[in-house]
Parts: sequence; structure tokens; C-alpha cells
Amino acid sequence: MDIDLRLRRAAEQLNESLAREPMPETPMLGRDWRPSLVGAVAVVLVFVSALFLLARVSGIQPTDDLEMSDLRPVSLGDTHVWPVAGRPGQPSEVAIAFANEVLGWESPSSWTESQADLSGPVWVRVSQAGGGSVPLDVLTEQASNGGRVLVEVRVAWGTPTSVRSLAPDESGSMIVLVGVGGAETADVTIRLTSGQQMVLSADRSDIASGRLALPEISDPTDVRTVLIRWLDDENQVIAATSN
Amino acid sequence: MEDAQIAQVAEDFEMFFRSEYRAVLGLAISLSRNRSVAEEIVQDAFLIIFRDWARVSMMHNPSAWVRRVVVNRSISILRRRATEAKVLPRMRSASGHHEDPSVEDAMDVWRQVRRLPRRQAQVIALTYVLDLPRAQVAQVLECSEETVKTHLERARRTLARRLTR
Repeated sequence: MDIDLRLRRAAEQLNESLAREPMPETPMLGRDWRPSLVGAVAVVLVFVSALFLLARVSGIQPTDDLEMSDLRPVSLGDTHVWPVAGRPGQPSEVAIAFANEVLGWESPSSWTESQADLSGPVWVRVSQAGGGSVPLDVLTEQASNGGRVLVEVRVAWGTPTSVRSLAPDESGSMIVLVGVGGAETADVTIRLTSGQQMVLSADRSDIASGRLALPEISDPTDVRTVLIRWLDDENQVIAATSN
Repeated sequence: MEDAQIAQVAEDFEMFFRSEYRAVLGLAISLSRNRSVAEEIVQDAFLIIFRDWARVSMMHNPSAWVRRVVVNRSISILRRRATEAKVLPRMRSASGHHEDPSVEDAMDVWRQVRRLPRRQAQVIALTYVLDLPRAQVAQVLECSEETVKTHLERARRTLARRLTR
């Protein structure tokens, strides 16, 4: 069967099944909603609280994109990039673990400045021989548990990612995408101040436009941590950047 | 704000909700893996709009805005384990025809659509589920019509290949 026809039939089937269902009440207003400002605010607050409570109790799993790529889901820290809890080891060891576990690089190498003071922030350069990957600079720091965490990831000699408001006539935020040579798509993991995580993927048109719009996040300060994994046309991670 | 004004706001929002609900739910179902998640996406989207209704209602095209929120969230949804556990596509159970080949075929089609790259899946859902012309798809996705055309062609090619296996 022609693919266009098959898609049309699938859409008809979906729309017909929805048309047979009763229309729900407007979720924010409900049957007993009365036109008072206090009432409206209360309804919204209760609804939002319930959503966040559910999110906290059940945990958020960014699994939806797994069908689209083989990338492992990553949990981001609140005030740093990775891992959530500090990991014991030298800066280079934590950086290598990041390259292994988060980027999927099999045999990364690292370089740390020899005079680095390990009690402070330490830059480590990580790279992978062969392939089209790009050397990364990762900034490691001691965590409160005595281990180490990554607080920033960027392409060597590059700039970090930033989150900004959309234009004044648009509602929402955007992530500035500073393109990486050879990247076809990007997997973007975002941790919000609420503790929720979301995963977006940016394609070539997003990358070409230099931004990924987040219309649902009205305040850019709601975004805590962003990790972008840049993928080539074979879905291999060639670079990563964080905010 | 006077009670009468608030009542008017509520009425406007209610009309918007009623005119958009089924369309965006269809979009969310086609792009997310199960009905519960789709409903959650739509609820979230309308909640966001409700909170910002004064502004959204003044936009040139609020429908495009809600559709954009839903297509974004459908592909990259904040997944909750609890929701995941009760995965049972109501599309099946509601119709009660597990063996109905048209339902099975539709589910197979949407499964393959969800495997497409994000933009391609969004273009397919907007084009077929909402039956939007290319210009409107481009408006929702904030891209050019040429980009929509390219995504559509690539998506159809991929789907044709995968669905005939």
C-alpha cells in the first residue's frame, strides 16, 4: 500500500477513535470553577503542586528518546553537570569516566596540567583517537562528599552553552546552540530547578538556526543544568557541551 | 480584575481548550508511546497556556503555539516511571478490537513514526493527524516550508522502507 495512503488511514483511525470519546472538562477550570481570581489561582497552584509532587515521588525518566538513538540516559547534577554525587578519583579519572559512560567513547585519553592544585577546579582535556570526535575541556571540582564532579564541559577552545529568553514577542526560553563541526543532531538533556529532567533532540535545522526553542519554559532561570551531546550521522557522540 | 472579566477569560480559555483539545491529543498520541503519557502532555501544555493565557490569547496564532508545545513535549517528554508502568494504549482497549487489522496497522504506523528523527516525526504528525498544509506546519515548527518538504520526503521514504519489511 502507498505510504501516503497508509499514513492517512492511520491518522483517520486515530482521529475517529478520539472523536468517539466524550470531551473532558477544561482541566484548569473544572465543573465547580467560579469566576474569582482567588479561586483561579488556587486551582492552578493545587494542580501545579500535584504535578510536582507526582514528579518528585515517582522520579523523572528521560527515556522517550531511547527509541531514536542508542544514547544512554544521563542524570545531571543540580549545581554541576555530572555525576549526581561526587566520584572518588583524580580529575582525569572522573573525566575519563564521563567520556566512557556518558559519551560512549571506548578508549579516551586525557591530559591534565601538571601544576594543577587538586583542591581547586582542575581542567582536563579529553579526546578520543580516531573517528570524528572533537577534544573536550572539562572542568572538575571537589564535591561536598569529597569526590569530584564535572562543573563544565566544552569543546576545546570553545564556549559553553547558554540559556536565554526567547524574543520579547515570543513566550519561552531557548538554548543557544553553538554548532560543532560534523554534528548532524544533538541530544539535549535539561535539569530544571524542580528536579525534573527532560530530553530534547536538535536536528540540523535547529543547529543551523543556532537555537533550540523551549516554549514551555517561560523563565530561563528555571533551567539548572544543560548537557548537549553532539552526534554525527552515525549517531556517535563526537562532542559535548554544558552550560 | 473584575469577576465579569475573569469569567470572560475563563470562557475564552474554555473555548480555546475545546477547539484544540482533540487535535493536540491526536498529535500527542501519534508522537508519544502511550495514551496516558499523551494525556499528560496535553494537560501540561494547557496548564502552561492557562498560566500565560493573558499573553498567549493575544498572540497572532495561539493554536500554533499550543501545537508547538505539544510536539516538543511529545518527543522529549518528561517521563514518569509510574506512568510508564501503566502503559496500555487505550487506543486499543477503547475500540475493543485487538484483532482489528486497521487498528493494528495504525499502531504499527505510529510506532514507526516515533522512531523517526524528531523533526521528521513532528512533520508527519502535523501533516497527517492535523491535516495541516505545509505553510502551517512550518509555522508551528518555526522552520521554512522547504525544510518541511525535505523532512516529509525523508520521513515517507524511511517509513515506506520500514513498513514494508
